[in-house]
Amino acid sequence: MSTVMLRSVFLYLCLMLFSWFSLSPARVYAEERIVVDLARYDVPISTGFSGSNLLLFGAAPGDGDILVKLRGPAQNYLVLEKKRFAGLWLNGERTRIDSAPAFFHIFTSGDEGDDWLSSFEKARNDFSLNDLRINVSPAKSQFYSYSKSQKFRDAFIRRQRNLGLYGERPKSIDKLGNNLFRVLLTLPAGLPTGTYIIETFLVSEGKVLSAQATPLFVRRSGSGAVVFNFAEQFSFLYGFCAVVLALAAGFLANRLFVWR
Amino acid sequence: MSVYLPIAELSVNVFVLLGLGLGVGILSGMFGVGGGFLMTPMLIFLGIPPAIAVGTEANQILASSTSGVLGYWRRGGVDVKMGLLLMAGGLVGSSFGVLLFTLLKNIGQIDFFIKIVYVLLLFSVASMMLIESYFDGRRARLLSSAGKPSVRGGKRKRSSWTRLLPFKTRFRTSRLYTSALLPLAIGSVVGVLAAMLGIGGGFVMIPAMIYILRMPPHTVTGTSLFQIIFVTANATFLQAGFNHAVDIVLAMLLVVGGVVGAQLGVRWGQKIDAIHFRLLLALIVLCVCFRLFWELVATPGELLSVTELR
Repeated sequence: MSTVMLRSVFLYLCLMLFSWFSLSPARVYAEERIVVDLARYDVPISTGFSGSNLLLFGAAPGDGDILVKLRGPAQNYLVLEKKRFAGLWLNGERTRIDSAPAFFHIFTSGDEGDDWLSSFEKARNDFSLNDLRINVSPAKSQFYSYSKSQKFRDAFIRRQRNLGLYGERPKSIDKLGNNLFRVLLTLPAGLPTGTYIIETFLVSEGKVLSAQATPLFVRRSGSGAVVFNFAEQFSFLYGFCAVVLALAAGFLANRLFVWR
Repeated sequence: MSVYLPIAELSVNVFVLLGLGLGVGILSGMFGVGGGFLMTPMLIFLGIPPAIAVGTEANQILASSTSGVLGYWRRGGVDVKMGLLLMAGGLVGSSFGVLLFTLLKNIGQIDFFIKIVYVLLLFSVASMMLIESYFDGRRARLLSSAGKPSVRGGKRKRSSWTRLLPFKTRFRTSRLYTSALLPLAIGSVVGVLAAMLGIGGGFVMIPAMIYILRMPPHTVTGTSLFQIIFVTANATFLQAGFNHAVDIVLAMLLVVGGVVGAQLGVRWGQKIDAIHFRLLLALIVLCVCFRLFWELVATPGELLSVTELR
């Protein structure tokens, strides 16, 4: 064997190895990529809105678990702690919770008890209500102990849960065959408006293999939107209109009923 | 069927709101009270934020007082001069009330304040009505046994301090000669209450007109309604402007129920035994009062309350 041949074989092997290492992750990625779409991209909240359902469907290769995270726009909150004073309960200490999601729901194909996710992935991606990061910021440069800020956090999450704004729905994703899945995202009556992010994750053996994010727009529509925007932007003109409308309603009522 | 209230930002059943308007309307038609002092607590019980309940109720009272005052106006039951003086005080009072309201809202004590003042107010109204219906009942029994004509009032005892006040002026419609400071002061006190509590204030105003101003009965209700229009219009305007607290959709639904209810109430009110029904109203008011009081004294299930910040 000549040295030239040896060199070309070596080069060929190098090229092979190089292409193997450089292309293989891409190939794996292409194979295990998750594809998701929504039945609609916007949810109009009209005057008659009393909750809605939104279909999310997609394809994911393999038999991994699917997790859908529906996260609403950021919102600031005021938390007031009630204190007893002379037998009456009134508001005492004030705490702010800054930029917490106004809406947060987790839908999963797996069961609640299953330990199908590593705690690292859970904590990193806010995969459960327990892991959701909430910024409790005391007023006036105070410092809260862990247990105290945990108390505010728990109360906040409890409140959001009771209003149907936060929740976890295990086993809510239907898998059809080997590849397809679908989930009906339930949206409650008091759905906050704004831009939502729907993130869908493919999880296998405790690791996130692939993810896709889709925006969802929840907006006021119809007369409700007109009234709200008008009241926000031109509050005094809105007040004036409210006065005129009430006067007109009063006159009309008098004409219809009192006048004989 | 539920309706989404754009300012309160929640869905409420339409028929609950219409029924509430109807119910309170019937009571107000029967007894000639405005009904704001019952409606606002009811809205709070429904889950409407207290601040929005107050602002919206001012708007509803504006509509119901407008429909009410027109009848009195035609019968000459409105003392315009007195009404305008009460109104001047009322505008100052209600503006101050909205200011105080905004201040309390900003320090997070508005809900507590609304509830505690309501408890005190409802309790005094209910006890006043109970005492009144007790005495009316006794008088009715006395009259039926003795067969005498009514001796109501008798000789009026003049309160001396009101005569010492300056700026005396003549009120032709009410045939009065009294100080202009009195209606100004009464108007402003009631104005503060109206703006902060979402009431017209008729049940405070009318006794004050009778016992302090000594106005004759035929001008009392009309003049009270007349000034309520201006005070609630001012409160609506300022509450919407500063506090975003007026929900037009909610107000209009309550107006529809209230107007129909008031007509039914007036019709039924002529047939019923007034003394017993006033007793009933007093008991209803007492129930609402105790329910609110209970909310203040009972250990809350949740010590931490969370509200969205705009």
